[in-house]
Amino acid sequence: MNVGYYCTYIPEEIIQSCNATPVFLHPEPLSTNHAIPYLPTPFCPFSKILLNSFLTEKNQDLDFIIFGGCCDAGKKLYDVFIALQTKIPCHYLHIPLVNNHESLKFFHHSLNDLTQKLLSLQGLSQQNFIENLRNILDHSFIVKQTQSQAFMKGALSGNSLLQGKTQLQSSLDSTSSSKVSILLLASHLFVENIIQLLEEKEFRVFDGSAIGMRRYIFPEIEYSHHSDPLDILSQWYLINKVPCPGYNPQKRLEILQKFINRIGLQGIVYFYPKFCDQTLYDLSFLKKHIKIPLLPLEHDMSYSSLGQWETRIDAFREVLSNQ
Amino acid sequence: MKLKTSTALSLARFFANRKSLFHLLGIYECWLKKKFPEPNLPQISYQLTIKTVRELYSHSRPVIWSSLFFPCEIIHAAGAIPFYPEITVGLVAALGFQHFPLEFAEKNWYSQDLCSYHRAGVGMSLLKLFPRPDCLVATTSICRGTAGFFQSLADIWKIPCFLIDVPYQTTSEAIIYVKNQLSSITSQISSQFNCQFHWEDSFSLSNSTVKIIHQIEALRKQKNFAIQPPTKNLDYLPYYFQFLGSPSSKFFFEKFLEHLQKIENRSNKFHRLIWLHLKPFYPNQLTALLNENHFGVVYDEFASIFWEPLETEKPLESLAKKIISSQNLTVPEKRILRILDWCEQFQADGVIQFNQWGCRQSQGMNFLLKKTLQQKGYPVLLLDGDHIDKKFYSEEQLRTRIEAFLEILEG
Repeated sequence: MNVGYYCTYIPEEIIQSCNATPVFLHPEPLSTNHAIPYLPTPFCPFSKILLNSFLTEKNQDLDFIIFGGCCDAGKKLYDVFIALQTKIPCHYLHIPLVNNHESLKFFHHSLNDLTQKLLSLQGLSQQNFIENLRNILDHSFIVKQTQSQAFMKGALSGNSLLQGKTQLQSSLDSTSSSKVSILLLASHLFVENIIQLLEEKEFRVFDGSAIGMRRYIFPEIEYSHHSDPLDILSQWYLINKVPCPGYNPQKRLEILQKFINRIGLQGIVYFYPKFCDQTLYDLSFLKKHIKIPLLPLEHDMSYSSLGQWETRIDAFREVLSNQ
Repeated sequence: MKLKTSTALSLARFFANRKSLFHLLGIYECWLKKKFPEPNLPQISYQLTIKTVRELYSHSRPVIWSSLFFPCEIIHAAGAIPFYPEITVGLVAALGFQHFPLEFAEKNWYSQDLCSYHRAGVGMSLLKLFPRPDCLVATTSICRGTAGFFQSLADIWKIPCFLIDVPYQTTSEAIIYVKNQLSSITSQISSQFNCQFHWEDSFSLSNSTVKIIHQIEALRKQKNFAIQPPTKNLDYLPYYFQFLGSPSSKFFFEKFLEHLQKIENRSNKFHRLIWLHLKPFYPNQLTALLNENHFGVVYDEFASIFWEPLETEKPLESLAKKIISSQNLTVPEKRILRILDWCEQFQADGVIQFNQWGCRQSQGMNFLLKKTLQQKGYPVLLLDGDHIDKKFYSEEQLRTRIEAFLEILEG
């Protein structure tokens, strides 16, 4: 069974432990034609692209979809999806916006609900699930810890996270010393292309996107094999993961600031989708509190602004080089 | 011109931060009471506004800022003064002052794609023109933008924000989750302000006010009855939200009911409409256009009672249910069912929603709303624009759309 999801707060370990295959959704091509009648103009481009792909059955290999997050676009995407009655069964997972004892408890409960739904579809027993989950967590912890440590030390630049690298790179690019190190903040869209573009412009890029740092990096991850496995997952994903925009802004700022200082990053390129409220608030918050140059680049769903992005990136490169 | 604007803003900020000056408003209030021993409805509303301004700016008690759907009964029960920035920016817009805070927020990196209620609230806070809060409370039940807005306010005013996370689906666990969060927040408010919560007074006032609102609803169901001018009821939002659970709200609705009972029914035929979401608050031609085309608003979504009576025996559970019930306005399935019910009860001919540019949650369900209501035989008009930012207002477009809708209703 293939289980599609796109929210970085959804633990893929649960899907794997139900003997299903997690499919992280970031669809191509970036078309929205079929979604246009159902979602308004000032609306999240990623939601439109996802809906388009569901409606055109580009995801026909999916057997189940997990919608999640706490944003209005995610909720409406789910509402429209179920109203259009596509054949794929789905589930909405609430991701608490606050971090405290109550929200951890509720997240645990929500994960349990999701598990029960997947188990009933798979015809798997709770006991088998727990055994699977314990084994997967043993492995997952090592991967997450190694990857997080390597990334936070600055050893995983470019598209290393996207390629699933976990170890320190044996030798850094010989030209890296002449490059300007920056952090790329972005959502799901265009990430590989924008990394490539920035590298062509002589930047050393650290991927802080939804499909990079926000998905793979758990800076203070802890694990005990004997603890309740769903407690562990709740803790990892709600507390230990790098927060997405809008989730615990103070903690997000602290982690980014620590990373910037440790690596000596010189700037931030904030590549954000139009009409994403969380990102828009995050942008104003970071702009106020992070004291290194920040280049905001807005996109909708196309490469139509590529020329403009290039010009602004070139100008940003000059600003950073002259510092 | 620029110099004049900045001088005016500096002066406004100077006066807004002089607590003692606002105590003087008390004298004005006494004078008003003497001059108008039997005040009419606008005078009642005006006097309550002056009193609130005095209390808020003179900081006579702790000031708690709240998001629109945070139950105000909690703040009244704590003896604090509630302030609803999302409502107050409506007043700022009505006074034609909104472009200052909107522009100031944009200069500080708050994009114009964000909800203008929030953007103007941020701008008024950055300009330090709103009364200084002692504490912020908000729920995520209506929209995600509220959380971003209140997190920004906490950062601007350097005070804590107590955010209640509300799950999208209503289950018994969700009620317990919200109740436990309320328990923690009320403990923190209690220790911060050294206060006790007097649930009985606040709940009793809230419940009795709701009964009066239901009487007003009963009047509005009459065939030839409509509040004039159309959408006027939305100007009374503070009494539906900010003052609910206080004597002010109850007093206002008693007088409002008396006022409505005296109104003679309209003899001429008009189109009975249900109004969804809010309306543009800056000076505009919407009301004139509605009147011109013989449209009457017989019910407004934001004036609807979506919760059960509050119970003093289990205050937090009752309030948790009220918070979760506000999803009657955001979960399409629940919202559309309620609208259909109103269409039937109020014998509506159609439905109008004035879209708010930055409101993802309401616009995100426009397709479902329109499709379902039209299937049931109720024409729907979705007007595009912005309630606070006049940049998105086009009178000609508004006229064309309203006239086209009239043709549909009469066709």
